[in-house]
Amino acid sequence: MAEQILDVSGLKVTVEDKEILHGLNLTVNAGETHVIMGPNGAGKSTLGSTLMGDPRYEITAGKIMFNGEDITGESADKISKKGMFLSFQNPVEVPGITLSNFIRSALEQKTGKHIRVWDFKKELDKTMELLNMDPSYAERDLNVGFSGGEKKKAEILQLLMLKPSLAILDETDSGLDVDAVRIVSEGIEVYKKTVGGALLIITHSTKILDALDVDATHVLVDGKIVHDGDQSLIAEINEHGFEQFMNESAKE
Amino acid sequence: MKEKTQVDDIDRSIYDFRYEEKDVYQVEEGLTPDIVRQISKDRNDPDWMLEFRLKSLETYNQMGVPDWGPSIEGLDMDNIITYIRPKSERMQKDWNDVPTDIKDTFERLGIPQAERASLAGVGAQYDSELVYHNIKDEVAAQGVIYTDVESAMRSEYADMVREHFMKLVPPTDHKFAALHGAVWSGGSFVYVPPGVSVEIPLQSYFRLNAAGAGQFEHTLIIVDEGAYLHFIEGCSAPKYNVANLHAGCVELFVGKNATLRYSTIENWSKNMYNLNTKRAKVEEGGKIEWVSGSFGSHVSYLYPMSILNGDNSRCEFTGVTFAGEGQNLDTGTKVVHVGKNTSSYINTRSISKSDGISTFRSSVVVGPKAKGSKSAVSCESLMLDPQSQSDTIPAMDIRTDDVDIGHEAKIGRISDDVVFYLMSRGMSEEDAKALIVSGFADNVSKELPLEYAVEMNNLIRLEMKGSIG
Amino acid sequence: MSEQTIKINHLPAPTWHWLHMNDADVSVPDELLTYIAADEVPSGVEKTVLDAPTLGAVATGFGKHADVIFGGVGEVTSYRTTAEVAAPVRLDYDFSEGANSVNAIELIAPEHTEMLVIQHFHSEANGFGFAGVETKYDVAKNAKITLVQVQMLGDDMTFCNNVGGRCDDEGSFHLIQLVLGGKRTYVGSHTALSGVKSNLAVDMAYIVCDDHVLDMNYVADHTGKKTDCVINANGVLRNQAKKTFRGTIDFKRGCAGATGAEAEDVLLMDDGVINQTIPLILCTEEDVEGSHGATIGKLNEDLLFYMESRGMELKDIYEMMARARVDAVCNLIPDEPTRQLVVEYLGEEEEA
Repeated sequence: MAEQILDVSGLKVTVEDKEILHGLNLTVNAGETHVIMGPNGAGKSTLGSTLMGDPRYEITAGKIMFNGEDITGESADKISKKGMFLSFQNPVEVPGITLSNFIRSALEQKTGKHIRVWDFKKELDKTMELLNMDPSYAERDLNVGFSGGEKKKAEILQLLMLKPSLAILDETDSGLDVDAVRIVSEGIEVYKKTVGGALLIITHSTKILDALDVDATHVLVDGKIVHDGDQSLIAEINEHGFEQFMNESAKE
Repeated sequence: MKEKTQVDDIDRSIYDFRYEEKDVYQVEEGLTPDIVRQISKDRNDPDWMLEFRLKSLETYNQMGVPDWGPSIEGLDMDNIITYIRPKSERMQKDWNDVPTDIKDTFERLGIPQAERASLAGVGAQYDSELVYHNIKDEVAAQGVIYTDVESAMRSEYADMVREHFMKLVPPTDHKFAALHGAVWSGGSFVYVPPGVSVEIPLQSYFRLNAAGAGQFEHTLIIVDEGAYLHFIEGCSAPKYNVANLHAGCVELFVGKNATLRYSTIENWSKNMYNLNTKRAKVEEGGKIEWVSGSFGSHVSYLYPMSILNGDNSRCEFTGVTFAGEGQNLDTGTKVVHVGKNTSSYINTRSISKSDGISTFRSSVVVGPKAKGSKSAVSCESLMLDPQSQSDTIPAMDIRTDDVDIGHEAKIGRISDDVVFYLMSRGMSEEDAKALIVSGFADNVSKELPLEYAVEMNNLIRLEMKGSIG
Repeated sequence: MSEQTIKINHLPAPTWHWLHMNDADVSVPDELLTYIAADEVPSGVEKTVLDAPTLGAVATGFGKHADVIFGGVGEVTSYRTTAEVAAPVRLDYDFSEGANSVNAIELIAPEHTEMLVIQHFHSEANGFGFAGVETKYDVAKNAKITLVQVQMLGDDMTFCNNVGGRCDDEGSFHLIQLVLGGKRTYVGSHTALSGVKSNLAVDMAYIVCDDHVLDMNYVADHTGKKTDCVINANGVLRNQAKKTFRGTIDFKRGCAGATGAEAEDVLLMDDGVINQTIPLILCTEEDVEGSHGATIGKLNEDLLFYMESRGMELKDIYEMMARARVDAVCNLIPDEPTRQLVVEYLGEEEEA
């Protein structure tokens, strides 16, 4: 059996005194691609942020195991260093820090080693080319004045440079943007090929997933995973929507 | 590529070390006409200067302390030694001739190394005495004069010094300008002849080593028509538990179509009362550029002033102030638009942390003749915790209709979203916040030569250490 | 006639004295008569004549010496809502007699009530003398007071307009002011935002001309959590007019979540004008967002070019833009007759 990279059990999460996740279970093995789908307000973004250690999401019960270690309640930087990556829906703008310096600094933090500017630059240029990204963005302040598509590219660039063993892509809202869909799809392909890590894709659109081999699909409704399936589940949801699962959830 | 995000850990001890004073000449504590005479005698002043000092002392005694800024109650002039210098030979041109302790001090602060690497000339002041002064031969060959004010007063530039000395900042300006007039010593005199462009910067470094002492250096810079100069000022002191005082005076004369950039990274120890006065007068088409980082001192009153005297003259002020524990830093700038089509551009950032108080104070005055003038002021403040304080007090007085004045200010805190984003990429909370603060202060670091930008980011990093409770 | 000079409109954090912006000097006649405004009180508002003020301790924009002007007011009129009232309380101040007079009123809005108060200050065009009006208010939980003040005094009058009050939880105070006349006008306003989510809005516009003086001091004192203030002052200076604007957002420790914004836009029409602006943000709380902005000078070149390209003359453009500043605030007045009054007044001015 493949090695478990992520094992979430009985996860309950509260935001501002309101419980959003009500005992969620989820397991992802190394190198696998999982998709989490669900209607608006099901708690999809909450799941991504909680796994990454966002202090605004309070874990009231349950456990998150990552690479065999208990990371429940751990801070985001420590989780990141252990090899998790979250691609944000709306990455923040950080004036005063260039994209290039930021990635180098993050890499140095992760590896604990000084990285020679020249070596770094070479890899960065190569990766940016792969993403068809204008090289001038490397010297622009992180996300400042970037368009939606450019921000998405900058996130994927970081994903490819930091090479995490689990990448969580929070794509809840990007389903409608054709550009974003293309950038993310291509990025996932490169990540799969070059890094070979596991993927957890959170979305309610299926366009991103068209060209992808999916190992498992989970349906998240009202703070719980109510149904598991394989790739075929995506097509089913495409056709019939979430109705059937919402009823399932209501039945409990 | 600009080195902005990666800063090495530094140790406060690189500023905090000190040597015992030995073989020094010093006056008694306090301030009397006799002490002023004694200083004057030791400086070998011309007669007019002794008179000037005594008159300044009278002015000092008549004036009150400011009632609008930070408290300076902890400063008792009766306990301040206004004059203390090494007994050794006066100013040297070779570091090897500087007394060992003092040479070591400047070595540890990196001054001789910086001189070799990237400066056109260096002056180093230790307590009341300028112990070292040198200028690269090729710069001297262009006719650039860089020496101490005392030497200049006895040279062919004597008249020039007398004509300009405390004319821009008269002793009557405020109480501590009067104090400066009475007890000043050391500092630098710079003259750049017409049309000469000094490509690499000159630097003066001021070190106050003695406990309970005051430093009162005078910097007089004259940049003649069409010339260019970048002057860098650095300062530090070891920390004592008694008050030290710095009341320097900087007078800058920027000639027609000339440009002067004046950069300061102020890092006095946190027992220092920094009551410094800086002022520039700019003639037609000339430009003054201030770059100012205030990190040290217990109390600061610092508002470099630009008098835009000539038509089409300009000023830029770029500043950052970081007030940490036990600090009350009242900083900002003053601009007076006198000539036509003058312009001023002010961009400042203030940071308050650990009960520190940071006040941005400014005045922009546009006189009735300054038609076609423009001014843009932008100040931003960052509060790092709820124990701190940050005030913004910008005044504008406009006396002609043909102007374009814009002003904007903002205050806020570090966004949780940004901290989480950075942490999700592997940065610790402390590093994330230090990075955000460095980014916030990059208006100044972008304007500094690389080594100084790195030093500034180190200072920020140092201040941010242990900020996560 | 004897008078004394006092200092009012203190800047909450003073700065260099040589700027002469820390406070204002005003000459106050020793003998002042109590003035009683003609009022129109709708049902749902209770009017009481008080022997002594009930809001005596409330801070005002004028500050500690305000009592020199208002301390001697013989009777204070109080207006208190008993229900949510749509119809305005109208107060008419006719200072045509030229006597030196002062007036004081209190506005009380108990929980879940709303009131609209309109004060109209006027005199003959050549009116003279000294007039002072002090308005104190108390906004209880979930209550609201909108205070409209329209000043159309004569060319030789000194007018002291002092306002101060407090807002409890989710209470709001909206001050709409138009300063269109008078020789020397002093406006002070202090609002204690002590209740959670209480808020203040100030919308003021002015036209100051000849050698007239307008001196303002607005203070928003944030002590309650999630309090908000918005202060907007827009105006026009002509001839040798002098204007001083002080505006302070004071975020006190504990006002977590508070926000404040302050903006000033001044159009300078003639070369002899004096414009002083000092917008303060004081802050001892981390979790706040504050901003201020000021634009002072001539009209934007793009705007001028655009309008000129549509065939307008420079002078007409300026007149139109000057008028637009006042109209924008006038349009906020939730009372048609008052808006009409302003339009008529400005119309006459233009013809004169």
